[in-house]
Amino acid sequence: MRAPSLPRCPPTILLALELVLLALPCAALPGPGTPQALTITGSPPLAWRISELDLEAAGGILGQVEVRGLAWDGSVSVLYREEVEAWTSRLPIRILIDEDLRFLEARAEGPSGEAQARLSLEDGLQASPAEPGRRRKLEALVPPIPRYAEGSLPPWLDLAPSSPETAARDILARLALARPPLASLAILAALALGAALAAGRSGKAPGPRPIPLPAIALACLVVALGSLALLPRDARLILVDLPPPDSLGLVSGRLAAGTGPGPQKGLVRYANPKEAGELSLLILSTPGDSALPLEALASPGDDLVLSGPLLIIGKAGGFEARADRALSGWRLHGHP
Amino acid sequence: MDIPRVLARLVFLLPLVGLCGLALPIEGGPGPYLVLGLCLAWARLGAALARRRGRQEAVLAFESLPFALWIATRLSDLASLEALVIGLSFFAFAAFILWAEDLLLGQIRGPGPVLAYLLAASLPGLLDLGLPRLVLAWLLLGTSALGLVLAGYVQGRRKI
Repeated sequence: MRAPSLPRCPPTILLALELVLLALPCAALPGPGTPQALTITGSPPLAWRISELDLEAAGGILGQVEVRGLAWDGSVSVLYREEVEAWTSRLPIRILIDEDLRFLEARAEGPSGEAQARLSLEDGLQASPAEPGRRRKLEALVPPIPRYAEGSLPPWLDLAPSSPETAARDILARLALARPPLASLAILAALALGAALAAGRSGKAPGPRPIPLPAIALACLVVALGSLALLPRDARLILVDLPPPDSLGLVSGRLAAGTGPGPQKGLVRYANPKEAGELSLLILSTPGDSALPLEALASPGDDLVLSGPLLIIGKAGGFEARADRALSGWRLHGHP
Repeated sequence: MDIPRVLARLVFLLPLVGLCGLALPIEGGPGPYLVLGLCLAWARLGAALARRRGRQEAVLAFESLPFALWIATRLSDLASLEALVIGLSFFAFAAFILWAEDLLLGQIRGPGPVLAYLLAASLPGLLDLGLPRLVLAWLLLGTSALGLVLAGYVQGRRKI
């Protein structure tokens, strides 16, 4: 018996229905809860510097803690995150303060519910105590376009005389020239070839029975996991200590690769021990769940000008740095 | 061996291999939902051009999924398992859209449904809901699973 014909509707109605469907997840979002008392304390935050702040909640803090930064252009970025496993009334946190930030917004879970706080940076950052010369220098620094630097790195970098910005672009181009993950790509290419051959074999009439759909789905998932497992997912921080500029403001010289003071996994440092300038180019990538200790990024008194927001993760033993995507920037060495 | 079919499948899959080779993790790249939406829309387009529906369309979607997950992971900070959850949730969502189309349209009627699918599939990537990615993935998975169950029920009732 023939099934009755199905009603038909034009694509515009179909599109409208699909948009309604997409809106459903939004309706399922939890509404705002009753905010509890939470305060952000500590020394006044300074622009371009990692600030040491404290979160204090009357009912205590236990669970998820998150601090977001609201910039003047309205953009929001997560700057700090921690899962607090033991009750505490005061939680030390670290935030890298960008000069474009207007507010810090903190949310912390506790036994008595979620607590929220907001700290205005409008006045604080304008009164930044950085000396005028250093402040002008920081304002003039523009981070180069970030790129991931994967694979093996060159043992040294030769810098032709150029401005720090031009040198940074050249260095990034050289470091990002690593080969793509060929082993991972080979798995995908094998999948394409195998799928094409299987399609050709099943298309021949009378051919063998088609491969069951669950088997195809399983095979594709296994291939996906295999190719993802071979992707490089280790955190890496590259610091390039530029030599001091000459009278024309140009930097040049040969910088050798090393691990810097204190061997640290994922940290590669290019430097010339005889000529140490005050400016370092910084390239940070933390794919997946990887992260690097915060102290590897900056010492007390250093200023950071980064291409994007830096997420700091609080751990029981300290703080870790993580970036949503590759970050590049400048580190201006300073005094605490 | 049916050589034209082998070549047709290679024409479908090799651009995805090429895209994987070109995908460089840079600042400001597309989010995972946009990548997944575009890859599954590519599968849908391939099936529509070959005038395939049902099983063959699902095979193309499954085959494009590893490429979509690879590109989405490479362009972002997703961990492998996180990418898998997001990919599967999106796959369920795409399957639901197809099922809904079957119910409403009955058969393929020109490029309209493909365009509608492309728009709908790309929207989660374009909308900034301010949600953690996995929360959105679980919401998508739940909504799609519910929709698939409802669609199956309605289809079953119609065939009685």
